[in-house]
Amino acid sequence: MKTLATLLSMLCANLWATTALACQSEAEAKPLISTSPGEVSGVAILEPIPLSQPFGLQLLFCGKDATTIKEIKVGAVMPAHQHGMNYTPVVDALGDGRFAVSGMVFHMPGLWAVQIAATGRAMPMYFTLEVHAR
Amino acid sequence: MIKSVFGLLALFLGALWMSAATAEVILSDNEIALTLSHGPWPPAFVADPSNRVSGLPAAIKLGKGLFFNPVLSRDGSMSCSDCHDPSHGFADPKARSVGKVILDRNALSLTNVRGHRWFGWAGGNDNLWAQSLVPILNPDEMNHDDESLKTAIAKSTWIQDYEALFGPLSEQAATDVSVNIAKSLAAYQETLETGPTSFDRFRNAMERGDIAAAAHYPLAAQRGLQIFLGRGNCAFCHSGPAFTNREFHDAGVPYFINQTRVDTGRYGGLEALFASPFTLAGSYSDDREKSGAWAVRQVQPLHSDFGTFRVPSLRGTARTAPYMHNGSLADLQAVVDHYNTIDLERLHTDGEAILTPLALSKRESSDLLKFLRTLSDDEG
Ligand code: HEC
Ligand code: HEC
Repeated sequence: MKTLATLLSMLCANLWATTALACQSEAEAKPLISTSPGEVSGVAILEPIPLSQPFGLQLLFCGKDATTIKEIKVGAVMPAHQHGMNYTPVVDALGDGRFAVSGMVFHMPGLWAVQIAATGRAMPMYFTLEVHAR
Repeated sequence: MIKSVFGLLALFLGALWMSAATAEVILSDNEIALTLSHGPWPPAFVADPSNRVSGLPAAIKLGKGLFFNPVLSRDGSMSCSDCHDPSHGFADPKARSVGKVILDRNALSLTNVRGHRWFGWAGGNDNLWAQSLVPILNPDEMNHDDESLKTAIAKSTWIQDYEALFGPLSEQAATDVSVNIAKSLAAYQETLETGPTSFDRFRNAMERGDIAAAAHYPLAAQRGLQIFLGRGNCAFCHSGPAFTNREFHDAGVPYFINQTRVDTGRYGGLEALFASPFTLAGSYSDDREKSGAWAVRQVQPLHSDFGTFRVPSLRGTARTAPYMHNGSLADLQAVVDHYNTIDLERLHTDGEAILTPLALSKRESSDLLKFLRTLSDDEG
């Protein structure tokens, strides 16, 4: 019984380690700033952002609860003058804590704050990512 | 002795020439980088996948013929070119165009029209052929319905060209005929384009690193460009090669049509869009992939849409006075004066904190104007 538990926890730790590793080993990834406490971290893998044209990005979540994330919502605003996006991006779950976001449009140059809400088993988790469009 | 004097002189002249040349591009590295984002121009032609006759010479010919012909109005009284005058940059010198009645808006220029994502001042359509159908079927403009248009085409001299392109008219549903007509009109309008201007020569020279060639661009226009990119914040909305971000903003132009009616702008545009059977997501699009349909599917109605209008392109704009959605500003000087003294009370949407009265001096206003004119000197 005890061995089973240790085995299980070892397995879990192992799993966790591999997903955490996935976040770090992702080339060109930008870390998401987490605004809610928790063990989940995330990165964004960005394509070049053309001004006023649709673009996409991938989000990858790592950590113990990363694979429990079922749904994410993505929005973006310009903190300087509170302009938001004119389009609602489409999110596709790719599995293993990875999501593809498409149909983002930054229609003005400057700093954009991408806001991400991730919901799974537990409380929703919030992340932000700051990107410059020009 | 003589030789060394000459040598010295040559050196001196060389230095003088160089300093003159370098002094004449006054932009900072950052301003140069921003300037490069307003080109290259013109963009390469890409056929519209939603329009199977886009780019076809026979469709362009038919579309051009119809554009200038009153057959598209039920009583034969008006053609597209009455409001989109080729000698006026395909816009209308009247502040508000006149159909059967005085319309609510100024006719948009049709040059460079293929580059837009949304059509009309309020973006009521997501493609050019759907927008081209609007005046034909509008009772206040050309006043056809699908049946009367089909009959008019059948009786017209265009019937052979039509059938060569689209097949036997009698076998087609009237709505399909209307859409086909609109698609040929779109094919023609896709060819209307402004050419490279002195601004483009300046921009391209800087891209090549040819400062000597870039220095031919007048200093006043360079100073105006600096205001456009910097203090004026103009490039926030008038961005990219066409000087428009293709989206909708409030530029502080009053939206009252008269004392009792307002122009709801993008708000009403989205209502029209969502009610239209002719969007890129619908069955009249010839694109099996529905590649452009993401925009109509994902566009997000916003509280702030009310009274916003599509950001106009600034290319060729010196030819298309008067300005703004209601033609309320008579010339480019009036537009510069408008931004210079913009009435913040009039900004009815929450977020347009980008626009503030610029308080430009006389010389700065004239510089900005000179810069704007360099976006329209392609026709000499
Ligand atoms: C009675 C005047 C009038 C006639 C006739 C007319 N138009 Fe227009 N056109 C306008 C006005 C006004 C607008 C701006 C409408 C708006 O934004 O609501 C416009 C806008 C457009 C636009 C949108 C351009 C853009 O940049 O989005 C297109 C395309 C267009 N017209 C094509 C045509 C075609 C094709 C015809 C002939 C079938 C035609 N028009 C006939 C007045 C006219
Ligand atoms: C917040 C976005 C925004 C900014 C910033 C902005 N514009 Fe505009 N501009 C617009 C919109 C929207 C319109 C159309 C407004 C309307 O019709 O109600 C417009 C219209 C114009 C027109 C008239 C074009 C036509 O065909 O009618 C000119 C010229 C122009 N702007 C130049 C400028 C200059 C110069 C600046 C900087 C001083 C500037 N704009 C800053 C959004 C902007």
